[in-house]
Amino acid sequence: MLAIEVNELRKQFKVQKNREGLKGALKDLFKREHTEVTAVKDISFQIPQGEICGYIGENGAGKSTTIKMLTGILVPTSGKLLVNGYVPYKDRETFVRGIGVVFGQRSQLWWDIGVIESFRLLRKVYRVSETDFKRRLDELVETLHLQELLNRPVRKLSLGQRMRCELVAALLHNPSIVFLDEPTIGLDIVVKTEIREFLKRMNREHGTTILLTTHDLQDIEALCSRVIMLDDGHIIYDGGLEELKTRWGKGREVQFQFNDPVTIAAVNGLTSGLDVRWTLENEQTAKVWLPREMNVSDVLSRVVGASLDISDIKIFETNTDEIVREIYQSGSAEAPQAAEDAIAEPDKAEAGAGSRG
Amino acid sequence: MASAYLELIRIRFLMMLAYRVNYYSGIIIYAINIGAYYFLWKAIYGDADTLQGFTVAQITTYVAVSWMGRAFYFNNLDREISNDVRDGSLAVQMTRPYNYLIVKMMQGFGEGLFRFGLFMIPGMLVVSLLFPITFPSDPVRYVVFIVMLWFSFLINSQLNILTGLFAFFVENNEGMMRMKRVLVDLLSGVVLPIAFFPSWAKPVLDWLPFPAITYLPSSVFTGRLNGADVWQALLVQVVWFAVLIIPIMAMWRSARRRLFVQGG
Repeated sequence: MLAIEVNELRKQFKVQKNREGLKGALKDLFKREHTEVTAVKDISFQIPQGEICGYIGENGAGKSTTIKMLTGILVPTSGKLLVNGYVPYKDRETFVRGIGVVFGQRSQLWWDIGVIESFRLLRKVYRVSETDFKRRLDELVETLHLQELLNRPVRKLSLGQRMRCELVAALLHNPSIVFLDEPTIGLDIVVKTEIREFLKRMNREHGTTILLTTHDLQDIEALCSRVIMLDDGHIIYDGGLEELKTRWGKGREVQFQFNDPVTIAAVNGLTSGLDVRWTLENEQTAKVWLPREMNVSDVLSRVVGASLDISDIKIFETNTDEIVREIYQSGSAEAPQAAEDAIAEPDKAEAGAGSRG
Repeated sequence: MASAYLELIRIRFLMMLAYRVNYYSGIIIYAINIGAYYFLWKAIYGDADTLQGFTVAQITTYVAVSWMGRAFYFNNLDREISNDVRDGSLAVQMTRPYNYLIVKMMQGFGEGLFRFGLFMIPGMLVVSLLFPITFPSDPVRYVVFIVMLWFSFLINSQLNILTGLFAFFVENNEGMMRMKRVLVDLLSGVVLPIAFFPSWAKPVLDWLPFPAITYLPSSVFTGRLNGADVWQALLVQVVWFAVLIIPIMAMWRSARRRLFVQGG
């Protein structure tokens, strides 16, 4: 069954235009001019139950607007929308009982009262029975380590603590679909990892469908089997993360640090017959680019097997950050450009390669 | 659902308790206000026994009970709603299975209950020690007054909600909120009983909801309205409450369509 079904969804906003200068301000006073902005332009996608789907795109691409339509906050301008079997904005009060929402940038807890008071209130709002509430809260408190925080007022929590509490607040009623709008924003790596682990577990154990927007692609890599990429209100990519990487990956680079000076001719000779490209970084350092389908070991064995002394070898891979950045810049996930200009800057790529081990 | 709304009242009550120091100063401010008006009215009366049918004792009681009633029905729902709209926290509210406006109303009521118990009642006692106030002897009058005060709260909150919802349609409704506050204080009869308004103004006010907020309940409490007039006054309040629901619903509906959440 489909958890989310979106068809030709569109959202337009009227934005007030402010004319310049005193004259403009006076004109505005009597006659306002508006411009129509289309934030989401006829997008369609489907998400089956139990899937974790990443929803990414640049700032202002329309991610949050989509989430807000899916959660019943905004009324779409046109198009069809079915979430959990409901039209969100029509049957809002019944519909929201089955979903959980976390906005990373907004708190849904009551600022001045203890965390546990917020939870108790939410229990009544969502009409969760006392026994279900106890069981669920115990489980959540244990997995997210909140024991000592429960009686503290929200305003005295750190961001990481608060975000964990927000998750609990959104999940107390055991929703079958969870929407997360930048859930890891501003968090340190420990909390981020903890939250990712928690979400994965929830998806595994309860079959919860998760749709999350994020700017942190490691969230996507850790969680999502599928990515929907949005640019300027259009979907520019919808598919697996691996597929995106293969389609856009630009091969790898291996950097050799030799003990003795080398020449470009010498290193070229080492790999004659292979489709690779050498560049000389300095006298003792040379870099070789190899296409994605070639094994690194083929090149390594040739170079290492030669009689040159090698002091260090580094392997660079274009990481997801690079890929996505390029897609954002070109505004399309269609055909990759020429491989050469896509090769990552060494220091950035190194971090990416390193994290993959 | 009712239990959720009750819980909201309780939580707001707890929150007010958390900031109770604010209210100790509030009692003093109200006492000063009442004192100032008491001496002002005494000066206005001079040697006269009655003005516009008010005796000095009645006007003193009127001033005291009006201010104390204001302590109960007053709230900042307009500001809260307009802030929710402008900073986008309304988005979070919309993902909850409840009616946002009823929630706001309940929060206002939690606040009102707090002020009623910890502010209005003790404040009234303090004021009655300081100034010559005559309390009604008939217990029914107290009951009717409490019911009318409840409607004062409802009507005032409705006006606040309407003002707050304007934030959907204008970029800044600060001016509107200030104007509403002055209008309510002036035209509801807190500052000046409606009986003292010029004769051309009274029929106009009959068609406005403001007198139902203060003037009617205070007139019942001070014994200016008796018998059938009391029930008539209550009826006027009920009618205003019912009538004001219509523009609120209309505004809320069109606001839902216009809503776009600030900050992405």
